Amino acid sequence: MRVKILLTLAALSIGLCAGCKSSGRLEQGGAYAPGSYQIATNDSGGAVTNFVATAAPDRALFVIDSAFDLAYSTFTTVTDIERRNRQWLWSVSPDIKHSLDKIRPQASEAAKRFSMARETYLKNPTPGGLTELQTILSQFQNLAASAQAALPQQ
Amino acid sequence: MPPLVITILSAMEALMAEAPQVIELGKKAKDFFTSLVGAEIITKKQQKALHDRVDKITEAIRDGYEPPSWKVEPDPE
Repeated sequence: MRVKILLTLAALSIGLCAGCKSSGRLEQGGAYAPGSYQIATNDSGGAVTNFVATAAPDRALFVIDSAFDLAYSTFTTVTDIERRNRQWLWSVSPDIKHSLDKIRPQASEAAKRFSMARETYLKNPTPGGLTELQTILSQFQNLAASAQAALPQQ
Repeated sequence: MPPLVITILSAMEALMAEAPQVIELGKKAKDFFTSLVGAEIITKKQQKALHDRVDKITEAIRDGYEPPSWKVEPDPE
């Protein structure tokens, strides 16, 4: 039962991206809107700093972040439960741990590449940078799906 | 709310009851997911919460952090 529930959760990370695409628009001036801080004067003559959006919100990055957030949480949850229940799962089949052990380093590497690519994109958002982020995210999601498949089905 | 979403949220609730050790991790994802379902506008607060969380995760990874469960450990005897 526990594993069955877990599989449902793992599937969520794969499907969430589509869910985000179908949801609402981003409020202007939020964290995903490129912009700059400008100093203005308030009613009492004091200086205030306002964030002024200079372009439309970057919805593509929002969708990528949403999907990465859940894929990361899901992969961590899957491996955490395997680790905490290792003796029992080992008695079910050693292949479970061995399969996850093959995925763990790949997921770690993909997460590192995603982190570097995201930092680069935030500094200089380009279409090429966005494509790279999407490509790495897709690989990370595939690894999460593989982790899901490594667990028993019931 | 679509049936799939209800199923997912129910499963997440059940998982959290089953595995208290992952409550915090699952709760954040669940809360965020719930807040997006059916939302016409994703507020600045929601955007900031996600942006800050992914910032925190990716910065930690760049600094060499790795969740303990991601590490390959010896097989049980």
